[in-house]
Amino acid sequence: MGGSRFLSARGEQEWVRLRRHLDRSKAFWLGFVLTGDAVAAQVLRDRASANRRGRAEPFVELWVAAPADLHRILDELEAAGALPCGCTWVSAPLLPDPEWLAGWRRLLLALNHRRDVLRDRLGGLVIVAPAAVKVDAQRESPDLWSVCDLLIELPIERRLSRVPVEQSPKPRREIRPEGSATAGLSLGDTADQGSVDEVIALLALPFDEVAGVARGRAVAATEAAVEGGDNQTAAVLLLRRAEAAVGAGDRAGALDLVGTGTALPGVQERTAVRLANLGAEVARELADLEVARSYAERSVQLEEAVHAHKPDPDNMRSFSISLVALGLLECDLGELGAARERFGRALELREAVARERDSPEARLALSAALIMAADVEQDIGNLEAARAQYLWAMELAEPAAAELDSPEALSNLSNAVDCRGQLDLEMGELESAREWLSRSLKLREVVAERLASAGSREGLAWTLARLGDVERKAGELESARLRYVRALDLWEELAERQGTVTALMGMSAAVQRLGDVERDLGRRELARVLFERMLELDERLAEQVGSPISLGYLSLTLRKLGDLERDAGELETARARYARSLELDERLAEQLRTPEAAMYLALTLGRLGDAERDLGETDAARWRYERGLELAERVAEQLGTPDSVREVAVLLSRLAGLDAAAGEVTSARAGLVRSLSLWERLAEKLSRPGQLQDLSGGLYLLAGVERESGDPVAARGYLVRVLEIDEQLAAQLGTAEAWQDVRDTLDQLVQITDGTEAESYRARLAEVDELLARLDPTTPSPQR
Amino acid sequence: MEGRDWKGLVVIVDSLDHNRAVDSEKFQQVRRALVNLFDKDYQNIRLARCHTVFTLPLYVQVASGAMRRVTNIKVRGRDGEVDENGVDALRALLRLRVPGGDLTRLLPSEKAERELVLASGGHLRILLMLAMEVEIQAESLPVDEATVRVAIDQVRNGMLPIADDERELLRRVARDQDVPLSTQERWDVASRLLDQHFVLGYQNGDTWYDVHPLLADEIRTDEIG
Repeated sequence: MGGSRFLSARGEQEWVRLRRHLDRSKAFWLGFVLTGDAVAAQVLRDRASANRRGRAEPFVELWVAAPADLHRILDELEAAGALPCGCTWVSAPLLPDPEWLAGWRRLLLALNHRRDVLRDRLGGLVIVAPAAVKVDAQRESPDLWSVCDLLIELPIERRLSRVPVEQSPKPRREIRPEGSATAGLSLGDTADQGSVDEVIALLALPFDEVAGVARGRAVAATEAAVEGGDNQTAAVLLLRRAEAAVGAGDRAGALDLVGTGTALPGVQERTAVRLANLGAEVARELADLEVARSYAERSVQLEEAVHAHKPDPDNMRSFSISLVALGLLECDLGELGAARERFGRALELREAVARERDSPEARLALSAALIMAADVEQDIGNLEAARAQYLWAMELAEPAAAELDSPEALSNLSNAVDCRGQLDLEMGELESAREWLSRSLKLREVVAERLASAGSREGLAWTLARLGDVERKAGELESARLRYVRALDLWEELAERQGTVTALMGMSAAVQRLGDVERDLGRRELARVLFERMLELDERLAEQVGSPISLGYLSLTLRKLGDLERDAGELETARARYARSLELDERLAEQLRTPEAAMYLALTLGRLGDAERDLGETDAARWRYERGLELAERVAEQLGTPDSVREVAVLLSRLAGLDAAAGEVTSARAGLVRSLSLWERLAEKLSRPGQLQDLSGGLYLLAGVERESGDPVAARGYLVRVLEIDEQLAAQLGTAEAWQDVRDTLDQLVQITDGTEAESYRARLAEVDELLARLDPTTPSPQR
Repeated sequence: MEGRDWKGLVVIVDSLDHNRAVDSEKFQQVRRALVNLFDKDYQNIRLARCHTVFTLPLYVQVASGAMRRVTNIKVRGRDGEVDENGVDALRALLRLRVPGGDLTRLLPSEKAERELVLASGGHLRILLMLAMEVEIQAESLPVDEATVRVAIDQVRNGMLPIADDERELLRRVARDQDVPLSTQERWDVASRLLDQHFVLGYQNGDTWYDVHPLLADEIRTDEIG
C-alpha cells in the first residue's frame, strides 16, 4: 500500500494525458516528463507501471545512476526496450547540475541520430529529466523535439508534507449517491460550510465528471480537507476519485489514490473498509496479488472488529464480502486451504443473513457464496461436496432469479448452472454437461444484453469455451471451433477495452482451445502459430503475475507446443519444451497439493517420457512413466474422473511399449491388458471419439505384442476390433488423420492374413489410399 | 521491368538536414563539408541511371542539380490576411486523418477547425501535433472550444521559452519577413530558428518567412512589455 503522495491538480491532469498515450498508442511515441519534483515523477512512474501490468506489452524501466552512463543507455534501449504498445521509462536523479545536464545533452543528441531505429522497434519512450533539459533539447536536438508526442512539465509544487492527524472524527453528514462506494459514508466535522457544500456537490457528480471536467475541483477539495485536518472527508473524496478513475478505465490511477487514502490516519472504519475493498479489487485486476492481499486482509480485520462489536445482518453481509474477496485472492495465490476456510466462514454469515432476512436478495447472495465454496471443493478434489453445493446454489438461485428478474439475479443463476455443467464435463457426462451449459449460455446472452458489462461478457466467453469443450470431446470439431472463435473475439475485445490480466488469461485459454481443435482438424501449422502467439504472452504474464494460474497457463502452452513439435519430428525442441513445462508443474504440484496439479504433473511426465523414448533414452523414459503412473493412479483413485483414468491407461501402455521393445513380452502383455480394461471401461461409459481412439490405440499395441510373441491369431483378433473402431471413427470425424489410422490397421491385417481375407483387406486399402489422396496428400503419418 | 512508361528509378536520400553541430564553429565546418560534398564531389555521390533526391538543410546552397525549397502551406499571406485556399487544404488534410472523414466527431465547429489550422502556421507536423493534443485533452467528443485552446496552449508551451537573443531575431523576422542573415556565415543562428519551427518559410513567387503564429503573441507581448 502506498504512502500519502498527493499529486497536484496539474499533476493529475498530466497523468490523464500520459495515460491516454499509454492506453491508445499502438506504435512508437516519444514523451518527456520534465520536472524537478521527484515525488511527482515517482507517482507518474508507479501509475504508468501499474497501467501496463494488465496489458499485453510491458513496462520497462531503465534507471541511470551516473551522468556518464546516460548516453550509453541507448544500446540497452534498443536491446531491452518495450515493443509497441509497451512503454520504456528512462529516468535518472533529477539533478540540474552541469555534469548531469551535459550527460542529458549527449543522450539527446545520440537519440536524435538513432531515432529512426528506435521508431521502428519501440513502443512508447518516456524520458524523465530535469526541467533544464528542455532548452538543450529544443536547441540541440530540434529534430527529436519536433517528433515529441507528449510533453509533461511539472514545476515543484508545495507538497502536503505532513498529513495532520484528525482528532476524534464525528459523523456529520451522510452521503447518498446510490450505487457508489461512498454511499452511506460520513464526512468529517472540521470543514467549513462552504467546503462541505463543495464536497457534497462533488460527491453527487457522475463518475465521468469526477474523473474528467471536475478533476481539478476534486483535487483541490481533497487538499483543502487534508490541510484543514479533516482526513475523513479527504478519504471519502479519494475513494470517490478512485471509483471515478476505475470508471474511466484508469485502474493504475485508482490504486494510487486508494493508497493515498489508506495512509491517512483517523479515518472512520467504514470508509477505511471501502478503501481497502476497492484497493483489493483494483490491485487484483492489475494482478498485483500481494498488494491486493494486503488490502483484503486489512478489510477483513476491520470488518471482524465491526462484526464483533455489532453482529447485525448488515455487518454480517459486509464481513462476508471481505472474506470472499480475501478467499478469491488466496485461490489466485494457490492457498486453497485458507480460501476454503474464508468461504466457509462467509457461507455461515450468508446463511445467518438469509435466515434473518428471508428475502430473494439474501437467498441469491447465499447462492453466490455457495458457488464459491463449491469451486474450492472442486479444486481440492471433493467433487461430491462440490456437486451438492452447486445443486443447493441452483435451488436457491432459480426462484430468487424468477422473483427478482434482474440481470444480476440471472447472472447469479447462470453461474450456478454453468458450474454444474462444468462439473459434469469434468466427470465425462457430456450430454448432461451440454444441457446445463446450453442453458447457461442462454442466460449469459440475456445478461450480456441487459447489463453490457465486462463481467457479463467474460461469463459469456467462458460458457462458450466450455460448450466448445463439450463439442470437442463429442467429436463435433467444427462446431467447437466456432464456439472458441466467438469466445476469443470476446476476450480480445475485453483485453483491448479493459486491459485486465483476467482478459489476457481468458484470451490465452481461448487461443489454447482453438489451437487444440485446429490440431484435431489436422491443421497443425495453424495450431502451432496460435500456440506460439500465446507463448510470449503467457511467459510475460507468468513473470509479471506469478500466480499459479498464470504459471499453469504457461506450462500448458509449452506442453501443447511440445506435442506439435514431437508430431513434426522435432524431438529435441519438444523435449526442451516438456522439460520447462515439467519444472513449472513440479513447482505448482508442490505449492498447491491439489489432485489437478498432480494430474498435470503426471501428464507432463508422460510427454517428457515420450520424447525421451523417441530419442532412444528408454531408461529415462521409463523413470518418467513410472513416476507419472504413480501420480495418475493416486488422482484416479481420489477423483475417478475420465481424464485421470485415461492417464493411468496411457502410462500403462507406454510402459508396456517399453517392455515390448525390450523383449519382455509377458510384462508388456500384462500392462496392455490392464490398460485395455481401462480403455474399454471409458469407451463403454463415454463412447466418444476420444475414448474410442484410445481403445483402438490400446488394442493396436496389444496386437503388436501378440504378433511379436508369435501369436498371429490373437494379433488378428485384436486388429479386426481395431479396424472396426477406426472405420467408425473415420466415418464420424472424416479427417485425414482418422483415415490414416484405418490405413495403418489394414496394412497390418494384409501382412498377417492370407487368401481371400488378405485380398479383401488389400482392396479396402486401395480405396482408403484413394480417399486419403483426395483429402490431404501432404498429411504426415501420425504416431498411434 | 523497363517498359514504354518507365521514367527511371528515383532514390531519395533523406535526413541530411539532421547533420548539424551546435556551436558556431563546428556548424560552419558541417555546412562547408556538405557544400563541398555537393559542389565538388557530386559526380561521386550521384547514383548511376537514377533520379536522386537529396533532402538538405536550407543553409546548404549548392550549385549542382535543381534546388526546390520545401516550405509550409500558406495559411496567411504576407499582409496577414487569411489564405482560404491554404486553410481549406489543411482542413481537407485533417479530415483525411479522422476515421470516416468526419471532423465534427473531434472538433465542435468550423471555427475551431480554422483556429487549429491557423495556429499550425501551415506546418504539417505541428498541425497533426495540435490535432493529437486535442484528442489527448478530450474529456468527451466532440471537444468544446476551450479544449481546443488548451491544446493550442500546450503545443505553444512546448516551444517556449524563447531566449533573449532569439526574441530579437524573431522580431526582425516579423518585421522583414526574411531570415536574419547578415552573411552566409551567420546561417547557424537562422537555421536554429528554422529547425525549431520558430520561423516558417512560405513561397509566394519568391520565398518569404514569418514567425510561427504560436509565438506571435510572445513577440508582441515583449514589444509591449
